[in-house]
Amino acid sequence: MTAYIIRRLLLLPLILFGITLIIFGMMQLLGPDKLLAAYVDPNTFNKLSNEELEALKEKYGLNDPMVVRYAKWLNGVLHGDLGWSVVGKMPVKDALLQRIPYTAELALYAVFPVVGIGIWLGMVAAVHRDKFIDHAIRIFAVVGWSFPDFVFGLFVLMVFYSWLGWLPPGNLSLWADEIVRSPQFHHYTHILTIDSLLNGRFDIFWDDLRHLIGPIMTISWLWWAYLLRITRSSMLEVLNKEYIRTARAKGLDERVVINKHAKRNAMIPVTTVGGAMVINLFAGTVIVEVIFNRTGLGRFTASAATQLDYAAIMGSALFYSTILVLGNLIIDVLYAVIDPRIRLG
Amino acid sequence: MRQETKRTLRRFMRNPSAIIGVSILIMFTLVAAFAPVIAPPINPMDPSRKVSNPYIMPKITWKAEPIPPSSRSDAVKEFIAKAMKKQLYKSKKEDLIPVVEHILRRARAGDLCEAYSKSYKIKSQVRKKLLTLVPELKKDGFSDPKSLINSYLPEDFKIICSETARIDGGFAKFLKSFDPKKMSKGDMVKIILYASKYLSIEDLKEAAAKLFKVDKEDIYRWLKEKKYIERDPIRTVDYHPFGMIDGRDIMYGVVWGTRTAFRIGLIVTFFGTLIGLVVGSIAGYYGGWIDEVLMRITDVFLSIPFLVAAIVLTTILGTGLNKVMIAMIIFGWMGTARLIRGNILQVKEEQYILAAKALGVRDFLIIMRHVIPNTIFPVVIQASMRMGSLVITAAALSFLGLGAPTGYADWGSILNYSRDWILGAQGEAFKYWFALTYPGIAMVLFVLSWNLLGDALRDTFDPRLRG
Amino acid sequence: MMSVNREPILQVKNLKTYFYTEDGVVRAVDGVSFELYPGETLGIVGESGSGKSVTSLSIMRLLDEKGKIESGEIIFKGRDLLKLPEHEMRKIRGNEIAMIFQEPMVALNPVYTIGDQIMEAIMLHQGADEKKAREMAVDLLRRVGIPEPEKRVDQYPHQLSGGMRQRAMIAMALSCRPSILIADEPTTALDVTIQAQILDLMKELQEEYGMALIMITHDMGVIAEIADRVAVMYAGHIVEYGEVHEIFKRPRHPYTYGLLSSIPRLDVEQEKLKSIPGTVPDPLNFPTGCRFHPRCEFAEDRCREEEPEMVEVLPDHYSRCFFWKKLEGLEVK
Repeated sequence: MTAYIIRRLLLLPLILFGITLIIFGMMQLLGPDKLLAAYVDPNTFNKLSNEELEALKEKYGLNDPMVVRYAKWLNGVLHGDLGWSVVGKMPVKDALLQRIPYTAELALYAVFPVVGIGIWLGMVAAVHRDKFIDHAIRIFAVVGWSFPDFVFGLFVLMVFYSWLGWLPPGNLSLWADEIVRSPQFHHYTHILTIDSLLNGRFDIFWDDLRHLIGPIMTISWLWWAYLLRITRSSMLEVLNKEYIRTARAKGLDERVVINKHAKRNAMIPVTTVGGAMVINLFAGTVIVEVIFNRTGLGRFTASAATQLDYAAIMGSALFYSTILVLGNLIIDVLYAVIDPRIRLG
Repeated sequence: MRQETKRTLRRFMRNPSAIIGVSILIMFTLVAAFAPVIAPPINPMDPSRKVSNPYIMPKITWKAEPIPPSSRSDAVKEFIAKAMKKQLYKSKKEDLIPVVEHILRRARAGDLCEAYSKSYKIKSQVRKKLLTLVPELKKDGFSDPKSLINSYLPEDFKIICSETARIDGGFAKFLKSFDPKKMSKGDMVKIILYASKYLSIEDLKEAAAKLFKVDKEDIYRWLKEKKYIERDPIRTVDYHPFGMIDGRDIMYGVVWGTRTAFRIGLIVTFFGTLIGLVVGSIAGYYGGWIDEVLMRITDVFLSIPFLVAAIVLTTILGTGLNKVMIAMIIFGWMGTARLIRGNILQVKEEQYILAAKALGVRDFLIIMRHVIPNTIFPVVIQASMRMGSLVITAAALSFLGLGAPTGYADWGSILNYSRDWILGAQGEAFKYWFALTYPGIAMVLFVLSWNLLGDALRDTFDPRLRG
Repeated sequence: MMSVNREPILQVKNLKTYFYTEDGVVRAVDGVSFELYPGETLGIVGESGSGKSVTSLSIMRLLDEKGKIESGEIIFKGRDLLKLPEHEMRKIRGNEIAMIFQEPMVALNPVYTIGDQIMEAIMLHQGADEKKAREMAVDLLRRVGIPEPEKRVDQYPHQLSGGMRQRAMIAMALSCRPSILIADEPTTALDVTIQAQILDLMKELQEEYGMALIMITHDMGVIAEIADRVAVMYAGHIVEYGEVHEIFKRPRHPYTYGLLSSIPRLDVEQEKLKSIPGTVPDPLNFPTGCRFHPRCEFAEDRCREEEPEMVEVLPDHYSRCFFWKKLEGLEVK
């Protein structure tokens, strides 16, 4: 296992390096004028004369050869310098850091129901193959898989907010927001559900939860669909394996055969393929945050894109990719833990 | 062999997924093919002339559209601000105090500077405070803060004030510490006018509600009653069964949007698959360091989330459908490449390839004649499964305002209109339900049909996974 | 033969197992009958797709959901296994009738240790606690000739060689001292040298445990080595059934004759190896009449129209052929 993990770890910087190359490459499509906007506060930028612009380009080395610029840019990135965000009115790094807790909270709360229920539904469908329940789950999956998240999200809003008034958009109600912004409210973790409990404000906790349910519902269906399809087909494949027949030939109870012998094996592809998909859930928050008008990385990225805030989108892309790469690393480790062939092989 | 083909075909035709998927697809194909008949592209201004581009939904009415109550719409902010401006001069001084209090509490310190730069009294107080900070400002990189502070130009004062507020928390607090009760009415009006434009829409609504003395949730309805906002959306006008949005017929958009969806899906899938095919074939066939390099590149491309990558590249290339398609092709070939490579590695070991190699057949010919035909089925299955998700992503980009331009016959763009209504005040939601429902249903059915088709193909050709 | 007078321990009567696939009904086992006596070895031989594996899975009632036992009886110790409720059947599986599968590579669960998988059956059927079960597992592993059993017991299947895995499978099957062991091509996936070792081990253990053995194989050589009696299967039917020496010496069905002629022999000089022409028929539509007639060198018109019945051609030697007499003069070289 150590060799396997070390190989993954060695690959990690290589992949991250590749990502910076792609992102830097995309940035070069912009040309020096637009790139400059990513370095300078636009309040000053708009008042600069042509000579001053040229001087600034010189100062930031935008006329340097590509390799030199890449080296400089990479150096900046490594030191946390991602440029100036017009949308955030602050350095990109600060803007991202400020918004991470919001998105992390959403993703965190979405992951558990998605993984738990998705796998469970897949197992149920596989075990009851071709029965009514299997057909019902499969229809649920194929429709969920075909339902674009922004269409579904809008329906959720229409029904649960506009009509029933249960699940409002945004992060918090105004009254709760004011309390949260007040100095009496301590931010221990910056994850609001936890902080509100630590502050003993159950009303705020409940309010936050109410704002989270809609987005989580919207995210979940799609990923349930993905995960349960993988789980189902993986489980079906395992149930056809000879070792399952061996287990039955031993006279084991069908429950033991499924719970002990089949599930653990079925989880191997679910972890690798399904896990890699679920990490994408983090990126999927872009759409949901826009629809539900939530503060967070996703909406920041979207508004940076519409307002052509290049530094901010590059920073976001870099951040999302890093999350994806790290998440994949975790999954690789999990895979090794589950499968003794990797762990000991 | 022929019997096997027949049997496979029969199995496919008996599969319920295949039947539903294929029939929906045929329906969409017919709609796309006969779009000019179902929704004729007629220039509404002059029916005798043709429209220049049928993919732009023709504007049927030029009357002003109703303003949606969405919290992200700038139009709404303008409307509320305009309404407030009219009210400001009518209000008494005491009525303004809660509004200013609210603004001071909710606005960013730096955003107050613009208002302060217009008021002589407050400006001089801020100036005094700023002068005490001169040494620190110098340390923070201002070469000559004093000249900026003492400048008579309001812009200069604004810059130094907001920059200082950004750097210095104490100063930011100072900016928010002014007591409205001690202000003149003129100062208060200035603060409301200039600082309110930086407020979030919710805060602005709250400020307006305080000014008009109505409940915040009712502010939109109230503005409408007072004729600040005029009309509701129209569901059915004579020949527009799906309703109208932005002066355009939704049915027209849904019908011509079918063509857009097909175009996006087919072009992106085709080129994405082609690139994947080439990369995967080369990697799988040659192996060794070529394989290693190509696969690591694939890994890197896979490490950027697809939606984020598409957003970034579309933004950089400039918005528009073509740019969306290019972005999706560039970041959409990796699945095929991996699949092809895996299959080739399998096929490569087979006897007939070894035989062909032993006979000295050229590599390229071997790939073309033996390997590709044997690996093409999984690729076709994968491509049909990807069609759906590609159309979704393209629509999502349009929905975010990065894809098709306004008025383009594209399902995602039409959906975007309905959003502003749904996000608005409660009770306004169903006003534009048709703008969400019809294109929404079209999109779900389109994606569903491809997914069902892909499922059916997989079930038929890969019986191992059947179920 | 020593066993003839005794009561059979297992009787299969007119067993029919069909598979209902999307392409049609596959009559994998179509009226198979045989007996198994205590302590003897019955070989079931046939090409792949002849229904021999399905027969064994039907006995264990381990068919997948598409397979259905249409009719017939399987009498084990006086009880019809096909009529037993599932929980009663579970007490028989692994305990009274055990099974070994073809590929030890895939027949062992990759995520559990060898020990775990052996102990499972012991704990289930014998009610032993974990410590006792582990001791028994180590003993069993030692008995089947696995070196360092204390170490091997904690290893995963992928850490063992193919031969070792098959030994572990045998240990697992024997853990509850079953009275019948069904071995479904236990040596096919192994190297030739290891094949012989495993067969020797099985013979040895069969004598020691006194169990009856059903050996399923496509290899006439294995049958010759281990079986007392043999049933030759073709296209869902038993086409010839009798004692092994009798059948090897005097095959009375053209298919058996073909199988025996196609074994390469070193002691006899052959110009060319004989083989049976044609291929196994499509199980979805078997030929009319005798199912072997398209490949049979003795076929006549009657074979195409009428299905032959099993006839006793010699004492305790049955054949499903109209013209078995044609084979009388022919001896296998």
